[in-house]
Parts: sequence; structure tokens; C-alpha cells
Amino acid sequence: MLPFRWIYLNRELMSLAITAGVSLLLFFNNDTPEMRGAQAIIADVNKIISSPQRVYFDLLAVRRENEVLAESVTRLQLLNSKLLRYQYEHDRLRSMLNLVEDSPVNLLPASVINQQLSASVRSITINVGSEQGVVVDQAIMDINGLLGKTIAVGVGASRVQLITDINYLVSVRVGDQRHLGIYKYSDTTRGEVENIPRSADVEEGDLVVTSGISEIYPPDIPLARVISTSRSADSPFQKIIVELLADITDLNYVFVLSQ
Amino acid sequence: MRGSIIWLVLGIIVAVAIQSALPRITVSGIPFTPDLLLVFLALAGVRKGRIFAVFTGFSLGILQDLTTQVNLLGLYAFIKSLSGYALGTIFQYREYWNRTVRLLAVMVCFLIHFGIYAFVTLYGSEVQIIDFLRLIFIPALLNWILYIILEKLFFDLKVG
Repeated sequence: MLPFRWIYLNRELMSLAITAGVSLLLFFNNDTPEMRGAQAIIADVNKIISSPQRVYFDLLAVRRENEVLAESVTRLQLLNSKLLRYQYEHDRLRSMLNLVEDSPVNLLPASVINQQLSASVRSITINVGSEQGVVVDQAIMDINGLLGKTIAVGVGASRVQLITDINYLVSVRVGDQRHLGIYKYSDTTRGEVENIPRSADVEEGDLVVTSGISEIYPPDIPLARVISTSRSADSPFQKIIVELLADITDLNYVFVLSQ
Repeated sequence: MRGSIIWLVLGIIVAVAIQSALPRITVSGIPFTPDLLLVFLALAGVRKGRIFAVFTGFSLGILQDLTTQVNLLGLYAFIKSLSGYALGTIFQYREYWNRTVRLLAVMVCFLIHFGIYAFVTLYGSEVQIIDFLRLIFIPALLNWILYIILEKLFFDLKVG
């Protein structure tokens, strides 16, 4: 039988073989610079396509957000006066100890272009890119906590890898004694902090923050809150389950962090 | 053929537009977003056959990959191509299978779709029975119900 005839007779299987082959090729080469470049271009295209929809949703959200923000501003103003007093005390104590001032973190606001094309969201596209000074490997957070980092930057849009990605690891500190551990996502809105010794004093409700060891994440960005801890006799580490602070299920506005 | 491609492109645009505007709903504490692209693939697959379904699945999958995946890029394209092939098989047997069997076959395809995705994403981690329900059975069931509703709405039960 001629090969062309064989291909024609088995065209259904051949279609599957071609598409499956291309898919697997992408799957096993998804970390190459070429793929990251393609993702940045897709992010730019995505921004253009979804802009009318974005305007519509923005209009819907503005009134409700305005009410929430007005309430929030009032509360924060009350809190601010208290913090100003602490700041004064803090500055005075730091100068007494001759400590070097931390570099401040700048926040660049951005809105999420799309996130709903799949039930399990592991990346989003935001509407800021190299034009706004965004670069690859910048931390992203919402008003509650760390969300992820930029992985591909286009001219006016960027792709963000979320902390819900299974391969996402962050060096963190947890508890009053700021034990060093590694955050790893597990499922829905939960994750696990690994490498915390059994003897470490970590309690339910403790805050998990970025350690600052990595160059990507500034220190002390809130990430999660401890919801349970357990120790087993055969492991030198305790199992710490945490709940993410960032609202992964309803992302609208985020901030790009730069030091 | 040209008509099919135009319908395919229009269908993809409409499915993507609706999918991106869909809210995330919570069923018994489990967050769920309908996979309209899979439902669209099923509606197209059982009417157009394997080749059409495989390429439609691949196109939809790659679109999902490029917008929602980072480290698993290509996974949806692979799963949706495979699902397209399986859904296209229902078209081949439309003369022999009654409606109930065809609907059950669609459900099996949905289970395979979510099953492979869950297997790859959970590979190497501790898995409990509830994970199977949460990641495979419930999404497959809810999307299947959506498929039945849309099929009834657009095609009045005349599968194939």
C-alpha cells in the first residue's frame, strides 16, 4: 500500500497523532525563551481583544468599589495616625541602633485582563508591560497578599505565574521566631510550608511572609495564614497547612512590586 | 468544508467570549467554573466527526494553555485533542447508539478529560478520595449537565 493512501485511510489517527505530537512538544519545551516570548505576544493580543469587555466590567465594578474604598479610607486614616506614632518611635530606635534603612517598595497598579478560560487558573494576564517599566520576575500582589510573579512581559501586558501553580515555590518565614521554610501550593486556596523543624513554635493563625532571601520578592510580603500544624514521629519537620491571603478566585486589580 | 470552518471559528470566538465572562460558582464549598470550551467541543465533536473534533479540540486547548498555563503549557491542547477524538467517535456510531448511550459516552469523555488533567497536576502528591470527586467527577458531571441543556436548547435532542 502506498504511504499516501495509508495516511489517507488513517487520516483520523494521523490528525490525532499530529495534534498530540505538537501538544507534547509544547509541554516538554514550555520553559524555553521562545515560548516565553510567544506568551508575551499573546498577552499583548489578549489585552487588545479583551479591552471592551474590561471597560464594561470596570464600569460595573466602580460604584461598589467606591463604597468599599470610602469605608476603607476612613478606617485607614484612623489607623494611620496610630502608625505615624509607631513610625516615629521606630525611626528613633533604629537611629539609636544605627540600622540601615530598608529600601521602600513601589506599587504599580494593574488590572487583570482575563483569568476564566480554565477552571484551574495558574496564570493571569495584566494590563501593564515594559512600557510601564515592568520586567520579568517582579512580584505581584493584591490588597491581601502575594499573588505571583511576572514570567513574560510584552509591550503593554504581562503574563503572571500565580502561586497556585504546582511548580511555584517561595522562601518564607513563619511564626513569631520567623522560622525559614518553603511555601508550596497544594490545592484550591491552600498550600503547605515545608522544612519547618518539629521543634519550631508555629501556631494556628500565624502569618506567613516572604523571607526576602530571593531577589524577586521583597521581605515581609504577607502570603498566607497558618490553619493547621501536625507533627509525626518519623519526620524531623512538621506539616504546616496554610490558607492563601490573596483572593485567587476573584482577581480584578493587582499591584506590581518593585524595590 | 468552508462553512464548517466559518462555524468553527465563530463558535470558538463565542465560546471564548462567554467563557472569559463566566463567574466562578461554588458548589458545596468547591469552586467551579464551567468549561464551556469543552462543552462546545462536545457539541461540535458529536456532529462533525473525529478530524473536525481533533483540530477543534487542539485549537481550543492551545488557547486555554496560552492564557491560563505556564509550566503545563500544551497539556490542555493534548487533552482536548484526545477528548475531541473520543467525542468524534460518538459521531461514527450515531446510527447504532441511542441517545442515552451517546450521552453516557460524552460523560465518559468528560471524565477522561478531567481525569488526565488531575493525574498530571496531582502526580507525586498525596491524593484522597475527595480529590477525585472535586477535580474529576463533579466538574465532569456539571459540564455534562450543561452539555445536555445546551444540546436541548440548540439542537432539540437530535444528536448527529
